[in-house]
Amino acid sequence: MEHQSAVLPASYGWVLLAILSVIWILLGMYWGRRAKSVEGFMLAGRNVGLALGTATAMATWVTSNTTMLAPQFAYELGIWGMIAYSTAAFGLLLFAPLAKRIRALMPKGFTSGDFIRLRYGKSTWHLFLVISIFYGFTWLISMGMAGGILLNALAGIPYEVGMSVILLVCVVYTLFGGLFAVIGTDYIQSLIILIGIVIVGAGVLSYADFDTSYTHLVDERPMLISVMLPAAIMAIFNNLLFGVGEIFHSNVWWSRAFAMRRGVGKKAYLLAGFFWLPVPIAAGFIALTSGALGINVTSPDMVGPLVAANVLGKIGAMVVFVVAFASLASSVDSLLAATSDLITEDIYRKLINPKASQETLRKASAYIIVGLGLAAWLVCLPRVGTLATVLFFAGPMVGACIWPIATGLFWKKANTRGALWGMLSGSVVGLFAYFELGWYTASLIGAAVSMVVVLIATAVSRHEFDWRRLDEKHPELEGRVESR
Amino acid sequence: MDNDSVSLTSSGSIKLTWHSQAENRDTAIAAFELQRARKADFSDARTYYRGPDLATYISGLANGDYYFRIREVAGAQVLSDWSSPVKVTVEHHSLNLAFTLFGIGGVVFALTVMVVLRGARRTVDPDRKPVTSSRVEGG
Repeated sequence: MEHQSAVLPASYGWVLLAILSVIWILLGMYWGRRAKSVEGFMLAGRNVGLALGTATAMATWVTSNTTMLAPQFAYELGIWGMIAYSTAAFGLLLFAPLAKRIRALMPKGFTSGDFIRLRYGKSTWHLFLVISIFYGFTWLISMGMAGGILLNALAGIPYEVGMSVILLVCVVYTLFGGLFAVIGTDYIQSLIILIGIVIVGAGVLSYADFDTSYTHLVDERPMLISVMLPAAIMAIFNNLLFGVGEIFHSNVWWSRAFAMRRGVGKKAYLLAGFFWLPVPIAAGFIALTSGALGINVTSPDMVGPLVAANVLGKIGAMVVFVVAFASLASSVDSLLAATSDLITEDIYRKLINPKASQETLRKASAYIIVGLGLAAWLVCLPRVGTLATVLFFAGPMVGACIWPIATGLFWKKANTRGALWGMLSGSVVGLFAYFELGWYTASLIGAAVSMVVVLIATAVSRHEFDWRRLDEKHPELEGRVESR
Repeated sequence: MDNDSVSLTSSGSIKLTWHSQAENRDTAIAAFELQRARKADFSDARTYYRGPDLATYISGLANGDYYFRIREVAGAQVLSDWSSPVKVTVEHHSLNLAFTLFGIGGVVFALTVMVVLRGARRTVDPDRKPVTSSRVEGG
């Protein structure tokens, strides 16, 4: 392990960690007390309003990606990298009309897997489950790693301890409260994130000397302020399409679309996209001042928190600590809930135990949440790479899902052949690009190949899909169970 | 230093890592001095980093060769010789490739936006009219 100088005394870190852990667990249990039925546990009773809907979408999308990866983009890819990261907001903005369409077509739907199964059949569904669960797990690992790295760099808390605590806290409150707890905590976490970023941004702006920063960049890192940095030019649409692919396919976002009240989804996703758009630019900008401030960066994903903490001192480091913990928790809980829903509904109920009672499903869901947390913990223990390389490994696969999903929701002629081969060929060619050209090209190439395949398959198809087939009823899951 | 003596990067970024040569060095006073040069003989060398960390991540380098070496110090006192130099060659991807991918990405994005917006406009708004499943249209 390369040593990185901590900026906060370890005692401060331990106290903050303990306080935040207790707060999130108690709040999660408080909000989660309403999760009586399976539908309540998985979809918060399908009655989430605009304020909570917007907050949960924004908070979930503000993850370690924003507090750590956006600065990393700026640090590695310069000005274009910063802008490239903010384009991930298009994922939320474009999902807004999809959320409305999903709610109309599948008023009783549970997961994104339900849609793929009903729309494209079993083969595509199986491939989709592999992609989606792999992606969810990769994202979960990157969050766990981020937690460990962050607490270590800020307060010297050992990586293994910080990572374990964040995963454990989120597992506990998601276990008790399901999506009710996730959305409730997301609301508070989104407020903390926004206030914290304003404080840190204002602090860095008042402290940073722009002339010195610019001169340092010209002398030491000239490509970061060049508009002709090839890797950054490639990254712009790659990141945009990665974000779109993540949101279009992932059950994290579909479960929220199902959970929001009718008429709320589109507005909530639009608002969340606009609120989110400036956040990575603010978070990324501070990374460009690191060199002039004489801050040594041992891992690029730590540059944002390190600059903020160094510039603003102990108070700043504490603010960063709280913001980072909130942004990590708001994503880890969402991933645990949405991935466990996908496994419970699409694998356990559909493939293993179709006659499972509500109580059995709740138990299965609980075991799956614990299992996911445990598996993520085991993979996180050896720190396998930077956040970007871990997360973007799933890039080509999620990029390859964009067209099968978008056309599957709007085109009657979109068909199984196009979706299956689009996902498969996009993933394979995109992974080839990942290794041959770099992670900053993989989603783009995966999405492009998949698009061409879907377009060709649709053009030659004569079959038209009957939308009514998507309206699958689940009467056995809509009752109430007093298991807790 | 732990890096290979010659490294190639196409992104302009590289991570350099190192470790102490002495087993019982007092870590409270020991530090490392990392030099960077554009010439192989280090005649134009400048100190890039001085401190206790065991790595640094360098980004934003322009095309060309860069040389790095490290030694251990404690204040003004030098505790070790310079390490063997590490040569880093930066050779960015071609701009043709970059703009080709940029163009492909632009087309994919524009068509995706078109599919979503046209699709949303052509489908019935369930919030204005009560929709039975058979009335949900599209395609």
